[in-house]
Amino acid sequence: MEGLNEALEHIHIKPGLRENSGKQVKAWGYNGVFNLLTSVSFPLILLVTWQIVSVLNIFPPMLVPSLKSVAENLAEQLKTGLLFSDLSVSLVRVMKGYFFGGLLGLSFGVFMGISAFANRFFSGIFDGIRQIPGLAWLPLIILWFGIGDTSKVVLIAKGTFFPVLLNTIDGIRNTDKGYLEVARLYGIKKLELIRKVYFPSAVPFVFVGLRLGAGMAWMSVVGAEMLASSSGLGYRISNAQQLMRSNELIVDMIVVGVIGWLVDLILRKITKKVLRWKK
Amino acid sequence: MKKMKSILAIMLVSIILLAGCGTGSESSSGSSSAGGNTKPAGSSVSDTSQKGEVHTLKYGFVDQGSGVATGLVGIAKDQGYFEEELAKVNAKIEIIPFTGAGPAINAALASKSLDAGAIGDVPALVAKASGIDTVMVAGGLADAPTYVVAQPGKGYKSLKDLKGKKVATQIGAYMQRVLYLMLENNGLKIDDIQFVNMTAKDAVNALAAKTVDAIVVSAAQSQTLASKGLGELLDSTEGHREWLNSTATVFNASYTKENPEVVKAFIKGLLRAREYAQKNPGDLRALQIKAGTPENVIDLVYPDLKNYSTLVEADKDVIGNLKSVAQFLKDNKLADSVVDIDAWYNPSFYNDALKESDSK
Repeated sequence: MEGLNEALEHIHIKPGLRENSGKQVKAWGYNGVFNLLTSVSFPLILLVTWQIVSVLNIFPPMLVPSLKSVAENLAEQLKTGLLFSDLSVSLVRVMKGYFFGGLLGLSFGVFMGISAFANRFFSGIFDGIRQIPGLAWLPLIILWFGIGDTSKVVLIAKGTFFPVLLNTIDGIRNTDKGYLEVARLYGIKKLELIRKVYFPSAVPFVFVGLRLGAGMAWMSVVGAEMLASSSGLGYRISNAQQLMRSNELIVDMIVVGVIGWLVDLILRKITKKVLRWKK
Repeated sequence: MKKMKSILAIMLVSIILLAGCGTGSESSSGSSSAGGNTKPAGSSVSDTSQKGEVHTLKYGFVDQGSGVATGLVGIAKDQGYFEEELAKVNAKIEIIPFTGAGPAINAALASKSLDAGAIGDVPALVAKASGIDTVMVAGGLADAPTYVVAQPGKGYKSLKDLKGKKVATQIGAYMQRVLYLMLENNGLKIDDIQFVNMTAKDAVNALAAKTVDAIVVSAAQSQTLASKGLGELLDSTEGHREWLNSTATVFNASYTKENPEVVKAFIKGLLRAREYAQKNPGDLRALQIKAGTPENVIDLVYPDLKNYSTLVEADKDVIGNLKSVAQFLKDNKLADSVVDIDAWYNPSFYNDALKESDSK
């Protein structure tokens, strides 16, 4: 507590906060409102700029559609149910690919993290595959798996796999050597060692990998659907682009961004809850 | 702190005030040629000629994968007609292939990365209806049918058998309209099939890999697939004149206002190419071969090359076709309005080029 007060001495901070040091400031107090306004100010600036540009017709509506036409398109997509149906199709694909990619990444990550032999065996190929962008894989994946859901799920799994793999390996390797020695002294079996020593140590890293993997999964599904699909948000974006509907394009891009942000937020909350024991 | 609060307050008020603005300021797309204040990205001939620099006309065409321009554009390029005519107005041409077809050329026109392009009727009118300020200066009518090619060995006898199946073609390209019309002729709608959006090149590969049940592509691509046993010709536009597609040579409207001499020089190049092609039809064939079309396919699609189109002007058939396409797009909600073809097509460049040219 004294250390915190000393630290606060060096920061220009309201006296009220210093008096309350050690207690969390309520989110909707004065500072909470200020923080909220600060975080929304940049999006607001962008919106204002956008509206000015479209009102003054600085660029043709085709290139910069007005906020009104974007809002109208969003309303239409919601009314017809098109947005929900595309979104649900994309989300289902992501969940499938994320599950498989995450499971494989975790399994290989534990294996390669613990076994130096396994690491040497797999890392060459995995490192090579990792360098090839997902969209470069897509033509081959389509040839092998067709243009249905399978090819999209495979691409999403590939996108998810590597962040989870690498972070799991890192997490396993960062296990405190002291814990391992004690565990060995007590004669703990390998499976129990993984469960009780390696895994708890690797969990923070694994969750970082899962968060990164979720982002990659979402990007992969949109990319895959843009190239060969008959449904989903990526398909809708490609559709809008080819029919020169820039307002629809922007609506779909915003939806992609918002959903990606929400998924990340949910994962952050889960990570915080799961890792509470670490504090 | 007080300053920050003031700034945030001003921003909030601005949004509220500006949200009420702009309801009457959106330019209408489609029937008028207005497209807002378009600013040309490149310099005009009048600017560059004064500085002595050569102006480059950037022209895009739909590429089947080889990067080779065929038809009159290919002839004009190979024979140096573009080079000669454009040099007279201190200009040169850069001919750029687009495998993404009409929609890709539209995007380039919209961003002013291209000054002109040759595209199909559907993408040309979709672009115009969406507000891209283009002008059509030349046109042509399809000289070969468009086909629905189905996977071989599946027993498909007609389009009715494709109900519920995967059919691939490109959204926003002329093939999309052909597919809609063919489905309608067979008592089906677009929702009765699983429509897969793919470029023609990808669709050909997808059919060869048996990942789709049918595709809609050009005569050359269709016959190539059939000749290799990779597809069966299920239906075509043959015998249905109203299903034919047309092509449009379009320029950015601002470009035609600033560089009318360049536009005329371009058309003069095409007129010279037409005269040459009529005397040397073998060169048209040679270009198709160079572009990768098998010789037996060329002979199938263009027997004796008699039906190879060397049209430059948009005659009444082309205009009539474009009008029906414009209405089709609106009826099928592929465009928000019906493009006024008479206002969009500017025949003056062709007429002036013809008068000034030795070629007829």
